[in-house]
Amino acid sequence: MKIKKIHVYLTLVLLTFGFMISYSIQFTKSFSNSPSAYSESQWEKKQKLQEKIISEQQQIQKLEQQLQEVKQKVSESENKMGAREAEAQGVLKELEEVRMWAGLVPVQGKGILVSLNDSSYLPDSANVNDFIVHEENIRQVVNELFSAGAEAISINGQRLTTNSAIRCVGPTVLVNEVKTVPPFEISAIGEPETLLTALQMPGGVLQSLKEWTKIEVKLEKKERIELPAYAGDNLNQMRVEAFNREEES
Amino acid sequence: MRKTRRIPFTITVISVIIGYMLAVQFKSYNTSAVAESKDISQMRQDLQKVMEHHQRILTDISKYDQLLYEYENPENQADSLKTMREELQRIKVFGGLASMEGKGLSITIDEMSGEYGEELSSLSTVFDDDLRYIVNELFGSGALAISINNHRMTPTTSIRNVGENIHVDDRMIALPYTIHVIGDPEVLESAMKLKGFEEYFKIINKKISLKKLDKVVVPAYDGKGMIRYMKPLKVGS
Repeated sequence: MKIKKIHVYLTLVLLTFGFMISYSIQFTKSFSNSPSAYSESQWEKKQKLQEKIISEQQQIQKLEQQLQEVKQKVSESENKMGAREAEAQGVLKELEEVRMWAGLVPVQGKGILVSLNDSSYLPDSANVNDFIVHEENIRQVVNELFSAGAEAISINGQRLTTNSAIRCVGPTVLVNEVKTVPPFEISAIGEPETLLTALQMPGGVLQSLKEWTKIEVKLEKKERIELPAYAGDNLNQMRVEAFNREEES
Repeated sequence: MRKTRRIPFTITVISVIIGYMLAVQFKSYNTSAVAESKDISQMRQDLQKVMEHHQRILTDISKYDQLLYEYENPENQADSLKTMREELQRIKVFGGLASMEGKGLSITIDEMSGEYGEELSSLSTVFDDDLRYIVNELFGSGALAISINNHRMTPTTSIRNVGENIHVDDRMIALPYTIHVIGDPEVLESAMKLKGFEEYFKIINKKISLKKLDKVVVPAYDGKGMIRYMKPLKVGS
């Protein structure tokens, strides 16, 4: 009798075991087979897209440098005019200030660096949404910094200007329509103490981020921080002007 | 005795193997799902964004080249000063220091007609986030200039709740909120509809209405752009 009992147990367990092995093999097969069959061409397409993206990005880097050089030549030329004529002097001064304010030239000054990152600790059960940085978290911090008197802000190298948008498209965050990934480093120029105090105020942005999310926030005062210029102040304007003209005629 | 001991032993060993297999299986399933998620349409979108960025920079380069040419080859002295003034004006308009007009959209957010219970009043407030969200969507859809209750959005504008009220920069605004936007009216309108703002504001008992206009005027920022801490950064020096 005893021997029979063992056999029943073993049979049950081994049966399950066997089923699992066969299921597992079939599952893995179907998973790796079907994509790889048609993904030969798919993979090639991806490869090509990836190459295209990378080459575009390299060109952009070169062009950005070129743009920087042209802008510098423009301001040199303006400086010469300013030195020549008293009247140009006043225009020049205003031009410099407005360009800085509108984010069209690179600037430096003291300020703070706020870094927002997805939580490194990710439990399976909890809501994943609480652990990743959302575009509205970035917007909140930026808004608070401006309200505390920040003069200029950039996010991962994208300078904010009048018509900047911080948006989410699918899983990625776009700043000025350029894709960025965490950690989101927000550099702000302004009086460091004031900016820090504003963020850390009780009931303020940092507290609410801590209460509602698990994202990682780092703050750092900086004696000198450099922000790049915004590129693209002409295109939108041209489009709208062209659009307005078209409709009139 | 010996046989009864063997049963739990065998079962333990087998259970451990099964457990291990389950874990491996689960893990391999998980990673392959992640690897598949970055698909071609996502990459195409990325490429499109990168190409747009490329285009923006190219346009800037050609515009600034043109400006440089006009500076260096003026027909007479007065002309180059005029060019400089025009450039200043262009940047002022872009940055919000001068008014702008053009085709666009007028958006009004107001109380929905009809009564609602007292208990809903805390749910029925428009918050700073709501307005920030709208402004952000509009700029993301190609808006050139925006004002809320005649306060122009600038590079450093903040929209913030102070107690019950919303402040745009340092100025308080109250219902009804009127947002003036300059840009392609069709695109702006469809962006607003696509994001479901109408339904959203209905929940908090507000009515949002969109009106496409041939002429929208967005006023200049009425404060001053203060610069105390930043200096131009000369590249290469």
